Amino acid sequence: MRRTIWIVFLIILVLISGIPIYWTFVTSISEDKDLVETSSRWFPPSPTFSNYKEIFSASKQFYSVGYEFKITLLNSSLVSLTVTVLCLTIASLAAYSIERLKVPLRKAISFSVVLTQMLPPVILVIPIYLLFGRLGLLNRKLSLIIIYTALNLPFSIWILSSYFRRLPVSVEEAAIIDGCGYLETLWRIVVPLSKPAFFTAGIFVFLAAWNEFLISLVLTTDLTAKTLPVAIAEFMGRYYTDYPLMCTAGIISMTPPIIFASIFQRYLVEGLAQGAVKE
Amino acid sequence: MERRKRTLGYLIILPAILIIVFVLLFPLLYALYLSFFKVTLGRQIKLDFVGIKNFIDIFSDSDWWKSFLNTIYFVLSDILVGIPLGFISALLLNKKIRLKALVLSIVLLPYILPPIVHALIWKWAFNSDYGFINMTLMSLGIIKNNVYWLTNPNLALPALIVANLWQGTAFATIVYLGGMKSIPSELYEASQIDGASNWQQIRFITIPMLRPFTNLLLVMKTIMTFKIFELVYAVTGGGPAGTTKVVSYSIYKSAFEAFKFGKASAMSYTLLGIVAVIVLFYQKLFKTENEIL
Repeated sequence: MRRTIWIVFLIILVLISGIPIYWTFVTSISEDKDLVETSSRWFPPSPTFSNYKEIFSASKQFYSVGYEFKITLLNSSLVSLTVTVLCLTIASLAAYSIERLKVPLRKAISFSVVLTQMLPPVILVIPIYLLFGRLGLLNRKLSLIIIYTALNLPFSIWILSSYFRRLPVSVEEAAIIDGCGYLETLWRIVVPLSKPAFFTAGIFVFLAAWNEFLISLVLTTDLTAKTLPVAIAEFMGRYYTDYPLMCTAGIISMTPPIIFASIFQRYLVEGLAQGAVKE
Repeated sequence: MERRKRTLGYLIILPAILIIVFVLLFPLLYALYLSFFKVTLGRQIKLDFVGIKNFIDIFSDSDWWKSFLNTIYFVLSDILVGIPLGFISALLLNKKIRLKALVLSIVLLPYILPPIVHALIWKWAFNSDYGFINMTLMSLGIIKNNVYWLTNPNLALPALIVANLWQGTAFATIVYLGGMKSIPSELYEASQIDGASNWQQIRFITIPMLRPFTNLLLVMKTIMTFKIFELVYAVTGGGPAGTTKVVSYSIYKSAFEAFKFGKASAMSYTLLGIVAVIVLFYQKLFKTENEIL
């Protein structure tokens, strides 16, 4: 009896969490006319992946929303990947410098972590818009890359340095005595030993860049730099909307987070909890 | 040797410092500076010093107070409803379940979605003609005609609050689930021997042991929900009749639609100040158990 109640509640929980997303997915594989005509919209009578095709195979020849989604999808991927690599590179150097080369900036980093977590992005986007505008850096992918890197650096440095701190230094010392330089030690010994930390930091940075909306909304104006979330928001704001296509873009945009979450969910749960109580 | 080590240390931390200083700290200070000026955009940015006028204007601005109040509704609902619901979901999930990985992934999904997709999903769910909410309520016989959730001034804010809770609860679930894993199972075993009921175990072991996580959630939820922007921007645009405006959205509008950059900067510093005060207040409150932050 007790178990039945528990299972019922569990099913309700799964339904509440999953149905809105399932609904979006079902719409993305429905035909526009089915939305109006069918009554059983939970299961589209003629599922079609034509919307996905429309986005991935859109060509430049004639302008279409599909093409806009395709290009902004590429922009988003390029920006997020570059930010991840750049951020981890700079952060690993900084973390090594703090933990092994005795540069006394640990406090400053903790402070910037708190700052970046607390800061409403809207506070930053105003001065950045004015300053970058003056420098002629609006509507550039490079600008987004620099800003996202800055926003994610403190957190990445913090994750990496707390991991470095727990590594035994004896191997590194031996390497240095054997004439291995510091940077070589970092690259050959510390980095390979810290794979889990690089993984976590990398996922967080990638997703932060992938999900970011406000800064991209303000700083980008056309397809040279616009990212997928901005394209989706613009499309949602139109008076007439092709709902299935809109939902398709939404599903594509949520795919990377879903993949990461399902692979690393255990890690996500435990990592968050540990990060919560320690430090 | 030691000196060379230091020099190298400073050299390799330099890129990080430069980026943080120039892209984060400097703009932040610049925004603070701007909040004391009237900013006019032209070929050059023209600044007229106005003292604390921008801040005074905010206090007499009924629009600001309205969005502030709305933001508070979001934050309070997240804390008073989202955290307890997250706790209950975590209790449900913290058992041996078949297909646990799958169940867990689905329950965690709302938390990891891009904010704009979160907005899209709910705009679509609340759609009066084709949304699943009206469809379901209709087939259950609860409503007879389509409800205009997002265009009815009385319903839009509650609808957005529900959408926000959907995500907020998932976050609380993750944190509590992690917390429950950290409670030693001996406590439960010992209490069982003493004849404690399930309910007593939750009341006297789980809840007290999760105190640090509850505190953390209070801080995080306050900080995160005060920033709420995408949901309002993309689902209702602050409407209908301004009933769903939130602080971040008002700041965005003042800056990028009314081009009042000075006032918008003052507004964003007021927001930051309010959040900081609340967080400091929490810290005072939690001082006895300073395990967090």
